[in-house]
Amino acid sequence: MIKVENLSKKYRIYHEAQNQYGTLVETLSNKVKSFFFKKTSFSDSYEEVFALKNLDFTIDEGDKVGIVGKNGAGKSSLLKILSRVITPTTGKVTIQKRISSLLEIGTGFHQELTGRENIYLNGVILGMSRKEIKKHFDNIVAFADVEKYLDTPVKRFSSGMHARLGFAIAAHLDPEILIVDEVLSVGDAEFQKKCLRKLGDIGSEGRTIIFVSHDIGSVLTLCNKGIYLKKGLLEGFGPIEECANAYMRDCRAHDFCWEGSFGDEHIKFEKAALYFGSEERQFIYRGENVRLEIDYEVLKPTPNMVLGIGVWNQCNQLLARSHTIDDVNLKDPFMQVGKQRAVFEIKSEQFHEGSYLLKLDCFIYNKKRILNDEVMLKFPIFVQEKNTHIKHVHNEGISLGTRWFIK
Amino acid sequence: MNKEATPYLVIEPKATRKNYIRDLFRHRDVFLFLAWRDITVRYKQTFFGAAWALFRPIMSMIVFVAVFGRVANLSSMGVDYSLFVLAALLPWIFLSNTILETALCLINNYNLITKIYFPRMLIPTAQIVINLLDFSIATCLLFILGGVTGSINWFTVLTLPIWIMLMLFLGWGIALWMSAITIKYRDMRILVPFLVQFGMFASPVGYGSFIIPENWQWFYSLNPLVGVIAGFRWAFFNISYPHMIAEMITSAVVTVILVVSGFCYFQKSEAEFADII
Repeated sequence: MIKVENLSKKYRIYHEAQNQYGTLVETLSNKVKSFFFKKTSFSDSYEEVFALKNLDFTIDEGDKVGIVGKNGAGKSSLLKILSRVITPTTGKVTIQKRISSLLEIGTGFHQELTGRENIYLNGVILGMSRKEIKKHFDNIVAFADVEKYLDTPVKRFSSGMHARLGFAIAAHLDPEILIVDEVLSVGDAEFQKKCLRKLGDIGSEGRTIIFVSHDIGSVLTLCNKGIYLKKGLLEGFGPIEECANAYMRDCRAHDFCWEGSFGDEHIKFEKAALYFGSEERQFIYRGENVRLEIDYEVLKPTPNMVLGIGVWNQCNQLLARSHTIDDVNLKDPFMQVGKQRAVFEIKSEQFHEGSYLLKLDCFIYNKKRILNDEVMLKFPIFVQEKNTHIKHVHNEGISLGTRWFIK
Repeated sequence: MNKEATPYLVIEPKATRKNYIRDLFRHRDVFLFLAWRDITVRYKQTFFGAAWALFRPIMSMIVFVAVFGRVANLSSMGVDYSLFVLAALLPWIFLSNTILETALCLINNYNLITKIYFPRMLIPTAQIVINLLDFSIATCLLFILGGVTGSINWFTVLTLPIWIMLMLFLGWGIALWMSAITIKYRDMRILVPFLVQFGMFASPVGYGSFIIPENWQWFYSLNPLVGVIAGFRWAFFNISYPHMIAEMITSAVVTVILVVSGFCYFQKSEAEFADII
């Protein structure tokens, strides 16, 4: 379907004041100089960097491929090569079917043209025929929700309307292969959800999708295969879970284990770790059982010493907590002098998809706080079921459960 | 789909010319819409609208008549001097606009070039279409003025399409070169307006090329505009002089060279546009 062989893209990074454009005079004078003096001394002012190096992979029909990698790993370069915006330095890509790419929402919108005119312009630029656009016109307008502003120049549109119109047009493309860059990073959460859902629909129709996102959650839901790029090299290619694993391992997006020594004269913490289904996996699937184990040593009997945990979201807001003090019967056995291992069971279905911080908490009631942020773990939770209707985008939070009834 | 079937697309470091021409054909709708976009946008939010297409030739004509017609008293071979100038101003304004606008057209379409593929050649080519529209409006003016004064030769004017084609191809060749060079060397942004200013005097706009001394004529006619303007004046007013044919042939040859080399240069450098823009 898409066969990539030995694909590389090389850029020159120029040093000194000379830039890569070069002025006409510089180029001419260098040409003249190099003609007379051989060109050795003029070529060492730049170095060559590979944005992509020797990529080889094959994408089959119907695959939904997620490309993951850090900033600068070459994700966008790869997409740009596949969409022919830039040409590779070496290698070959063979594509069997009609391909459309969406590197940006609303590419080629002209600010002076009206919404109606821009639908045609953008549609044609994205590769639709005039007939197709005419056919989908009403749907596009409805999807973007801009009926009232159809004859207003796009420059008067709000940025939200702009993005909605752009995506609405792209959503009605009818390619066999669709390439999508991080278009979802624009717009509000509502809009992102709508986009993801639409992508899911397109995917479930058996089309091939190549998708780049920093949001591992949406990649995991949408894709079945993954490409993990690291510094331009193909670090992983295969099932999406493996690629996401490899990526998150490198990103340190998690911290399932803390080891060290911290405390005061009353108590000393040695280890805190999360255990769940797999030791390999770098994230927790929502619904699986997670066990927190805390190793510590109580150095002297201290009345009213309390152990606990708090779960925080990425914005550093406390979402939930639990302390041994919460239950009258619990407190004492945890605080007996000597080495102890406390276990706490977390029901991960209580958390929506997202990334959470788990902080250990320990204090002497009304007297002293022993732990602040010193012992901290980090765990991402993702939804395992591949569903086309994505319920949550970027909203960490506590789930109230699903005990709904009809009466 | 049969696996052995020819692939829809092969991406390689060097695109072949055959595939490039196929791509041009595949993207013909994009071409139409780019041209349509630029035409629609051109006179938006202007008070006079398309009347601007008449304004420039008329104003230039008045200036020429006042300065050269009265003061320098140049020969116009029996035709009214204002019409004599206007016939040259039509291709001149077309070509100078083409040069000025195509120098910047790729840079102005930055957002398209870095985000989506289509043969980049369509952008400067679409510019030609817009200028052709302005040109057509101004040509109507000449037909009206010439018809009223009875100076148009209705027989030779039938050859006008030939000269328009020559002008279009010349414009296209220049457009391809200008846009491809400017994207790499921004010097052209500064150089081009000066070149255009200079070109007005280097081309027989306000005068006829028959006043050029004989031993300079071959050099002078290397400017491809000379032959185009000669063609326009001959078509409209049947103005002819001994070396006119030579001028026309030189112009056609230079135009062919410009178009072919421009096409090849553009296609060759097109691949790196997104990297260097």
